[in-house]
Amino acid sequence: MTRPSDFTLNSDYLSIAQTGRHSFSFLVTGATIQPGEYVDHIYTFTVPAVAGAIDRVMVQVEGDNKYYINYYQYLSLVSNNVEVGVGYINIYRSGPNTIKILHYMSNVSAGPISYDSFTVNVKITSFKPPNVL
Amino acid sequence: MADPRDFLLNTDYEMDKIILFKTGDIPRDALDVAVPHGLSFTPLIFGICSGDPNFAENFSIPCDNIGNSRDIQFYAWADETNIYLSYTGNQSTSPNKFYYRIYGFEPTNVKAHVASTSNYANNFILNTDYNYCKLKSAGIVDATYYATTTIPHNLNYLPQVMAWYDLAGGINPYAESGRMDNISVDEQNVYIYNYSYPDLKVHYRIYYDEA
Repeated sequence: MTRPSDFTLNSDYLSIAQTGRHSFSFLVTGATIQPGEYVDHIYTFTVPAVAGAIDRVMVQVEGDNKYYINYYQYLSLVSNNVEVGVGYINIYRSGPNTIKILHYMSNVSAGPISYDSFTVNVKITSFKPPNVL
Repeated sequence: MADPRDFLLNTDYEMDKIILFKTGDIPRDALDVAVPHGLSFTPLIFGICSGDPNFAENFSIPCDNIGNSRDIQFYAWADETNIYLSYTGNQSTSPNKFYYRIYGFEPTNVKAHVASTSNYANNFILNTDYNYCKLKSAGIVDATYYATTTIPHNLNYLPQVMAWYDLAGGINPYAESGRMDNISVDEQNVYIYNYSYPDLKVHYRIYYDEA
């Protein structure tokens, strides 16, 4: 038995093979939402990978210069320093060739809320899981 | 100096070594099911989960997939003895059980002996048909409470990053950008915003490989 920390690489231990990098943008459709209601969209993208691939995802929402390293990106709609809408972007692999992105926004205020269409940039790096050919 | 991105693998730069692999399934409404990991330390775990034993459709761990009416939530965390798994879902629309594949890395503050994980005579351990990520830096930071902690990488491009949060000996993979807690990256730095936890440590890995 060895100490893996002593080696830069060591064939005694499995590693993860990167099989692809994908980068795309899409437009989340703007909406007006009445009090107590919500919008729920599903966007589907072709992102090929081996079955059961491990995908590392980074997400950037228009207006933010950073990418977040998360599959679940919380969204907040604020008006006059009050949060009036809460939602999320949620990304998962729906099949060997497809990624689905869920966008959800609900109105948590007493009046209608609206937002314009906005761009979401996504980077996905897919990895072949060890022990799976 | 050569650009690490020009190499599929390069012994000048550390390659990820998986020291833990667990697979199985748990029933719906199971909470904190303990799976012994057999290590002498708390591993940095990550993986995928699925209602399909072939993982054709799969979600990252942890999963909070509430947008498609299945209300699936799958969580995992680890301590020095076990991995703990929880799965809940809509009684009518979610699978009765969920499958998982969990992998683990050794934290940077551990220098333990670990049994070999690559013992398959007929599979490839390394294959130069694929890229293997080259580690630039890894470590553990104290994430300042109610503030942003910055870790410079200065690569001038967007690198791949992985991170875990460490609370009272339990280590959890980051997969959510919560209302306040999040990890973000730009072409110069990694940013950890900690809103919720006064004593939060974060394990991170920054790679030379582009996102």
